[in-house]
Amino acid sequence: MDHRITFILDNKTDASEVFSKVKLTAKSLEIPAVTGSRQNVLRVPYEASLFGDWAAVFQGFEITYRYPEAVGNEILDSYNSAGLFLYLRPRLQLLDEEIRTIGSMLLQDLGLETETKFIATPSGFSSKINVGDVHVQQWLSSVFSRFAGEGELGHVDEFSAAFGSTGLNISFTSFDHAQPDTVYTKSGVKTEVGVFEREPRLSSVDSIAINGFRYALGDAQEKRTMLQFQRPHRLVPVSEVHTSLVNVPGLHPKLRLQFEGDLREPMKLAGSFETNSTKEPMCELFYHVNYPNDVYWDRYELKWLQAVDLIGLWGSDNLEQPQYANTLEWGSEILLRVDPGRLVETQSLEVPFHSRYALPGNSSDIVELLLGELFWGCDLKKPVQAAESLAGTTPIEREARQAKIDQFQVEVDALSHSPFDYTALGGYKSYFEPETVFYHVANAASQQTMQLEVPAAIRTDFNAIRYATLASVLLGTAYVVKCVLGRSQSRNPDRKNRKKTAETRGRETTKN
Amino acid sequence: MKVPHIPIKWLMLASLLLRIAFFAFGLYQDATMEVKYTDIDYYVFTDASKYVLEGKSPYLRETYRYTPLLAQLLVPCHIWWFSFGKLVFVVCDLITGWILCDLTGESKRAVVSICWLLNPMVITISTRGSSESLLTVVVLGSIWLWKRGRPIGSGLLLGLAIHLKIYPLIYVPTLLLSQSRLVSWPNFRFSASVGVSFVSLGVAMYWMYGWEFLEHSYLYHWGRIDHRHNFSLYNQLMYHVSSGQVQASWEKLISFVPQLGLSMVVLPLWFWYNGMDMGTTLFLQTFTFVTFNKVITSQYFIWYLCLLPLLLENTDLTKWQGVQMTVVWVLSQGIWLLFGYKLEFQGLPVFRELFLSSLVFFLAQIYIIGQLVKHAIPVQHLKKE
Repeated sequence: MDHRITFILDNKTDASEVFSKVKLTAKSLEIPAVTGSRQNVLRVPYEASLFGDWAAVFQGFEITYRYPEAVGNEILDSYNSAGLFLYLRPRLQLLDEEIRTIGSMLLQDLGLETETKFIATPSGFSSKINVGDVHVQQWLSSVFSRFAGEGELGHVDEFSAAFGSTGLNISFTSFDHAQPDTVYTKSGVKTEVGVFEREPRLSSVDSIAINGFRYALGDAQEKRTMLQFQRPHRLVPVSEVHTSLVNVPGLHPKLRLQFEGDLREPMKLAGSFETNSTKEPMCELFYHVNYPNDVYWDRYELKWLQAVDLIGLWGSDNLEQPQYANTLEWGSEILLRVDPGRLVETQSLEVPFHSRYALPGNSSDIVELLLGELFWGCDLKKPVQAAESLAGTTPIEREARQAKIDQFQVEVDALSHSPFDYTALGGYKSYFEPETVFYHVANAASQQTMQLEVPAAIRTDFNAIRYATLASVLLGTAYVVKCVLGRSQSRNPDRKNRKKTAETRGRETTKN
Repeated sequence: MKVPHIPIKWLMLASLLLRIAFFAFGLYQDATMEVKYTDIDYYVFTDASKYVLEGKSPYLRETYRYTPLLAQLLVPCHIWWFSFGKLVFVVCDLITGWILCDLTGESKRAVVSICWLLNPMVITISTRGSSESLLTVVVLGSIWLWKRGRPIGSGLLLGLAIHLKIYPLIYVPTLLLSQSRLVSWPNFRFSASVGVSFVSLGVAMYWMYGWEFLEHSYLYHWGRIDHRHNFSLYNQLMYHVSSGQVQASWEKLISFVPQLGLSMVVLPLWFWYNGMDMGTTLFLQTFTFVTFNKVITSQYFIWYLCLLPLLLENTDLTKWQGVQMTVVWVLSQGIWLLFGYKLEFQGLPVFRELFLSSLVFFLAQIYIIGQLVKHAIPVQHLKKE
């Protein structure tokens, strides 16, 4: 097993002082209290004795977590969706029995208690696990102890565990780490620790350079290292989005995204790559969010919005079902493409959604809505494909085009060498090509979650409603019958008139 | 007071022009304003018809709970003009008005004008793309043919009406009892025609779309739990029962027994026994059916509104009594709408108030039924008068 620990010092820390205080021995590495971020990555190779039936059941699975209040950073942030998610590619059909099997395996082997609610997405099945953050942190500590052995984990802002053909890759990231650490060697575990600072002179939005030391425990080796890499996940500078709800309380709220800063395409890959006939933008703006079953999106309503295109809506999209009637799906996932050109005047976007009827209870239900992800998705393959399709140009033009293709190809290759990223199995990242660069627009600093109040009937009213309804129906029926009978007696006291009445109904009798 | 004579051709022309004006405004509003004129249901129908055009099932469109025939009828919306369906509904609307004029005679033409041909509510419904006029023209066409001694044609149309929406089934007993003898050749021909029409349409649609046709067109309405608030008295009861938190036994059946008992048994027998007018009875049956229904939306009012001129021809209600009942009907709706607004758009938990409003609306309807029964004039009395 490999265990890689990375510390990224923040810009307030004196890196040279930290490096001078690091104590490396044959058995341990002591790191002084640093302020910055920390990431632990464990690579557990596949062994049948360790994983049992996992390979038979799963083609792959991925568990991701992001603390809703996490404020990330450009180097270690994976921009997972807020909350705890399980993404699955089972080998078997995902029927009730298989879901129970998967559930019991994850509980037994990982201590993860999953619900049996999944939604089908283009990349597999996803399940949102509704566990409080306190319990998630406890669970993460237990997973860390199980695989890494000793060591303090601290608060985890992001987590991922991806199981594939080669084994299990687990990552724990804390964006705000500020305590001393001691890392010990462990038999059978190759442990490496890196302590780095960001090189501001060599770093930009699109390229990151870090400089520091790598320590290989066991070998007691220390190596000066500088890394320069390009991440597929980048942060749009001087730009943020403020998310809120309008028309609340009410059954038909709207999600409001208020943009601050620049809404133009990211500069590095900005502009369009001209083809013969079309001017196709390489970068497009997207919004993705996961919502619980208490609310729903109407895809037919969304198509009327001028500023958005509905790319995908997965999960619970039944327009009529009350919240409690859906026992199979945890909620819904939506991916929208936003046209920033239509937002120039207001710099805001409102997207309608609706509340489902809530379970009768205590007059209202509070639904927690986590924030979504707003990002530019830039597909590096597009200009390459567009350039390759051009024909009938001069040698000079062909040379220039080839240079551009090579430039983008270099960018594509660079993405796969980022040391802090991997190919996501599930979630919004998996809906894009591997050659996609994501420029994330940060959520406003004060934002965490939103709360929606959904009115509900009072459960204890049932008996009163039941008997009042019954009494009204009986009363109403009796009254109508009384009127009918009373009318019959007053108008036709003599029953012999009945036959005469039928015979005189000349207008309404059809010919024999 | 002498009622002015209104030549039918001018009345129909005025109705047509009004509908053209509303329709044209609707096109303008849809093109320029955020709030659309076109009914949401029209988009449901046309989305379903697009699937039909592509050779697929109309039920791929969520919330399409109608016969596939409707989606098939609107296929030209995607070939010729998107508003084609609205034109169809407007034409049906006008034909409904013409039939009413013919059924009620000259003296009641003003009533027909107010109730149907020049009624802005009716005009808005068809020009917005609601399909209710398709049903009304078929129902009234059936009545019109019946009165002209054409039981087969009447039966075929009534079978079509039942295929479109189940409730016209309640008219069968009344039409059969309007004969001097229940077992008669015209009744047999009528019954057979209803059966042939309904069954053949059902078989054809089932052959094309299978079980989902039955599920979405009919069965869904029996077991629905999408109880989004509506005028019905049963709404809150269904909400609680559907949640599964309470034990429910008779609650699920409570709506059907009085509803069908009154509309399909009691009122037809009252019609037969007292020599009542058929149009009056059909109106009362429909009004009662809607009153006791598990779901009541504004569109359902059209089901009996199209029969109102027939009732008004055969009642001794005074104008003041008519105004009273109209006020009661409108006011009770208004109270419900107030709390409906508070729930939908202000998110206030006003379920108790909404239930009480539904109760008031229900009792108001019952009061109206009682008054209309008491003031209905039998045919023999009309003849003498």
